[in-house]
Amino acid sequence: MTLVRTLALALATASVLAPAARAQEAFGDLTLTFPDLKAKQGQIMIAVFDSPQGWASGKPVRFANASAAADLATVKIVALPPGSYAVRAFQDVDGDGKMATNPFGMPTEPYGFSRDAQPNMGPPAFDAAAFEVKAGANAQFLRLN
Amino acid sequence: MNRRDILRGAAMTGAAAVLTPETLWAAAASDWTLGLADVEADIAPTSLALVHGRAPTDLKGTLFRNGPAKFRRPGGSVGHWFDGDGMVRKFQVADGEARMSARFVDTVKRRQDAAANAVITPGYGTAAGPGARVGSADDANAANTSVMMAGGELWALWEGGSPTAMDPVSLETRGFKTISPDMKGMPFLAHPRVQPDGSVWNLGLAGKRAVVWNLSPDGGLRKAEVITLPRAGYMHDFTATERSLIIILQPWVQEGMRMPIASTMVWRPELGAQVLVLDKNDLSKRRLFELPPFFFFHLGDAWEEADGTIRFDACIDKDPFGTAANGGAILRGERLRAAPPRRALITLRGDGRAELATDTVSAEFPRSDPRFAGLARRYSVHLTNERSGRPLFQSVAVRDWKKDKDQIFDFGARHLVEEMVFAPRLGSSAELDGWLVGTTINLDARATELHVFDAQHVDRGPLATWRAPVALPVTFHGVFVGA
Repeated sequence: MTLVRTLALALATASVLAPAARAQEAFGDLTLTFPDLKAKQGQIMIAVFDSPQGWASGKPVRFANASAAADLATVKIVALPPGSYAVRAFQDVDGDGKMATNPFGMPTEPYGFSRDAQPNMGPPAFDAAAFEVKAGANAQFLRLN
Repeated sequence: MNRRDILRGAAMTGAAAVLTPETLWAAAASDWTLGLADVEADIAPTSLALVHGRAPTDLKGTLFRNGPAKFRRPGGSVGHWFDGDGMVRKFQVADGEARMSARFVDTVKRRQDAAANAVITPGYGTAAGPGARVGSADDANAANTSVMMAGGELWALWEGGSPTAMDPVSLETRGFKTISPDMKGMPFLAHPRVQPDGSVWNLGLAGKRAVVWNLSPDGGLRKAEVITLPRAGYMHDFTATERSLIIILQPWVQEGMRMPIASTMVWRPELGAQVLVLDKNDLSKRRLFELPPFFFFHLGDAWEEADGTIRFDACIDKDPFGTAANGGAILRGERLRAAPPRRALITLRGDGRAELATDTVSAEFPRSDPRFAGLARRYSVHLTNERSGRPLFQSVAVRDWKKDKDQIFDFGARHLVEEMVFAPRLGSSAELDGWLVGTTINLDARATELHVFDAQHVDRGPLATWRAPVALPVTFHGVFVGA
């Protein structure tokens, strides 16, 4: 883990306590919004990736969650170093903390990828889901199907 | 050079750019391709015109049928008959009159392909196009193979995904049916075995694994259990007796997981065919029988005799390079030279021996009296008489296994004949006492026709024939629901 990222994570943790300090840095905040949820129930479990390697090996740089019971499910991920990111998320409707699958291993809870990247017999590539985070405010919408 | 040749020549020299695939197809095709033409819109409820005979006054009910009806789009077309968009047709007979309507099943696949103005969704014999979303099998679900009633709901069936629930009155699509939340998206074959009490057994396949479904008559889940099969043989159908499930593992084996599905299948005749018999009450109780290699799509209902002998009829090919391959060719207006599928009787003996007796009679779309499903029975209904040089069938047959006799009615070369189903006579419980109800495409009238036969006297021809104002492409399977 690079020094910058360690710092970023530390800042993310500290952000609630020290918003003023964070605002001085050239980091980006990312607001994720999840429109049109079919069930207003459970938590949306979110993983943020910053590289194709991390995406392929399932090693996110951030985790977050958002309440699916809210009128509009949303979460703000703060202090991301500017760069390329991709997000995958699922709605933990049954509240067991895991993405439920049927006996043949297919997801039974809604899931989706940033930039509405489409799965094709497996998850989309990092590049298909990737977007740029710039310093300041950033926003992405994720549709969960 | 005739008009057809000119059009073909024009297509080859680049003029195809101004011709849509639909118009080119219509102009260049053989007459039988009317049975594989595209339908552009739903058919609003309409009356059918009686063109022959008189309908039995005591026949009352609805024939629901399903089959693909949209194959070609400007940016790309399906690669196989099995990948067209499902359209459910509804034929109602009452008081001697007939009405019909038809609606496309509103699937994710149909929406995705329509939006792309190209068939981009992969399937049985169609590769994925650019931008295809296949997050689950249901994203590719064409809902185009069969129908069943479950409580008050009509389910349009495919084989690799969920049933699609529809309103049986309006044929409006309600959406994929989740039989239970933890089984969401599990496959459900288009050939459920419905027992005489209305309860349902079915399978869903994923390579060597299968889910065995057992549903109550209203479609509620009684049990779903995952089992492992001896091999990943392609399976469109299975059969059942009152006590047992009978699963044939043909030597057309799935190797790898990708789409189109047909591209993963390898013909391995050296493996022979295996027949797995499972006890419905305890799926761990299994027996395995060996047969010579053959290919099949459809089986008849099975029965068990007093000494434990199991028998059932089957429609078999010698390999998948005939019927299965032709499903791709006929969409292009071509036909591969291949022997038609033949009727066979399979016998499984108590001592572990199995026998395959193949007839010379061509046979497909086998049906029987549903009140005898899983029980000893005497009759089978099937299509027959595939003429050389053209695909699809021209005759309907009733097989009497006891007398070793067939009754056949030949519609002749100007009809494409679709599966015929049995409708029992009210108040009678005798096997095959009632009617056969089914459709054909009349190539001269360029119209779909609905026929009713006396099931005991099929060779006398239809008692009544009605003509629809349109020709709809050939369907696969249907059910008759008595009123």
